Amino acid sequence: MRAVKEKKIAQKPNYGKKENRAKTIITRLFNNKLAIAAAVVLILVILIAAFAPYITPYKYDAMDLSSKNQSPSFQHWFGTDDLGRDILSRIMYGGRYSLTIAIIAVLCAVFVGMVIGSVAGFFGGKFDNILMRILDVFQAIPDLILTIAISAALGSGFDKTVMALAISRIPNFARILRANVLKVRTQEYIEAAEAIGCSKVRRIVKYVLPNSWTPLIVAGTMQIASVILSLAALSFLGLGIQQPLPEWGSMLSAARGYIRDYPYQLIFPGCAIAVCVLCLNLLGDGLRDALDPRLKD
Amino acid sequence: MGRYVIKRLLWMIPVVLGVALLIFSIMFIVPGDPATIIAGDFSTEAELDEIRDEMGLKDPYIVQLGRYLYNVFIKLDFGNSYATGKSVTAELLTRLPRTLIVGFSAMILALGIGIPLGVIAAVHRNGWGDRISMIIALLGISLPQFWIALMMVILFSVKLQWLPAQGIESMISYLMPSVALCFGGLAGQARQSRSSMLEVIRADYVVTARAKGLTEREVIVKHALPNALMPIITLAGSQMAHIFGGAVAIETVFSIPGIGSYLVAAISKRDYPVIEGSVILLAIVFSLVMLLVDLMYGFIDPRIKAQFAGKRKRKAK
Repeated sequence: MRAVKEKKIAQKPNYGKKENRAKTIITRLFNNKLAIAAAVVLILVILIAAFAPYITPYKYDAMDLSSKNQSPSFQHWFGTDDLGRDILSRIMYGGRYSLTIAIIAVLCAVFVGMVIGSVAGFFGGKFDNILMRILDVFQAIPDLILTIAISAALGSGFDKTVMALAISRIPNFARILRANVLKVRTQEYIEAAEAIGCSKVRRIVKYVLPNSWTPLIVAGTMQIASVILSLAALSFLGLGIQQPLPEWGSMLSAARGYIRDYPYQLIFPGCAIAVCVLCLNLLGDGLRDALDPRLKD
Repeated sequence: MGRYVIKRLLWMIPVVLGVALLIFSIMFIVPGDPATIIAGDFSTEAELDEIRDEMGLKDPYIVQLGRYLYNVFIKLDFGNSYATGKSVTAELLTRLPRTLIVGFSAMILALGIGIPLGVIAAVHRNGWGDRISMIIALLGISLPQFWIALMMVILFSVKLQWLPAQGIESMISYLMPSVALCFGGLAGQARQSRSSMLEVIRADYVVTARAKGLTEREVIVKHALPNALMPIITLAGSQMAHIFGGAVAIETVFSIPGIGSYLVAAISKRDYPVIEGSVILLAIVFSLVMLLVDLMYGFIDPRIKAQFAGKRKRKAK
């Protein structure tokens, strides 16, 4: 009975229009050809990474010392590295690390940032103040430096790298959500929910969050791109994911020693990173325009 | 204004203390015994014990933290490197100028190229200038900076042999690192200045400026741009963080003996005092940059200066 009442009184202002709104957003997104092209390329990259074991011409760690450091040819489209491993196959496998790490790290950061941001924004006052000052400290350290420091402490490896990348992104998401929660908090439907005796947690989860989390979609997409770049830099510096695993940054790190003699080894892994990041940025732009056309310019 | 500066400076103290506390704690929880790192793997237990006593490694966390903060902020001493035994402070101070040269010249390039690109894009909205500027901006945020650096080395050092690939023999050595490092900032600036220019370009005062017969150039440079500068400067501040972060990889690519390469080299050796010192120093420099940005608001926007002046006058009454 209470649930029914609650629904009636504390309806969101756009109730009933919700489906329409989602539809307009999707239509707007589909009208943006560039964003859709980017999404298609991304899906392709994800499929290639997912099915890498079945479609790569060679295994990522298959060494063939008789054909090391070869230039691109019909056998090896992107050439081979210093141990005779096929670079194309390694790049196709590499997507697994870059994409999964970036996506998991951003999801973790979004989740923790969401908790911190909504709690800080909703309760406000001293509590908010303390949380924001702690975030100030985190943000006083440049992103990549913080990631490097945490990664240096934790060591390299999949889970540790995810953690290092996620922690450095939390303040970002927390701030975005907090700003939005502050706006939503004073709306009438939140007051209504309070008036009928909703608990604080319920108010946050049921009414505040659904109305304030959309900016995180755009920020999240953009952050996946930036995390891929950070991860590449991290692996390039010898942290993050290391040889023999075919992470793009670590491939660049290994190929760096051959910059004078075999520069093509450096070209292709970098292109792979660039394509992914470019598409994510285009998709992020498209999502932003679709969610809020006023921001377009 | 003076009071504001002092307030902002005082606020830096807890933030920097917080950074030091954070970094020290991260390094403290790391498994691994500093005594072993200093003495090497083949030392006896007695030797290790002596080092631990000498460095106070047996003290509880809070005592060690207090000692570290006291040394860093009162005695301005970051301790000695585990690997070389030399003073970290001295090393950091010789390396800092190089990192600053690379970082600030990258920032100047980013502003110097990014703002005009953005302005051109806004003035020729939806035209060719706009498209080309935005493509450059998009590539700038999408290409890994250290990869651009590597590609530049291949082109300009290996193939053409115009520029040195490594080291800092002369000022020319700073050219490629700064250019490679500026792309991210440049892209952000181009996008930001485009959107803030588009906002002001339709404002009444711009229309007025045109109506009184100023040339288009005067209208844009004297009337529109100054009013679009605020968000651009704000962005420049936060971009310094990316530039200092990127500098770590760039310094490694070009073997520039700056703070970034010092930090990277220290990581593989588990040289904690060096890691802590580098991170804290970079955070201090970054905080100072942000302070500078805040102060610049006052110069760019007279309204903000007036606010502070206004407060003081009101108080005097």
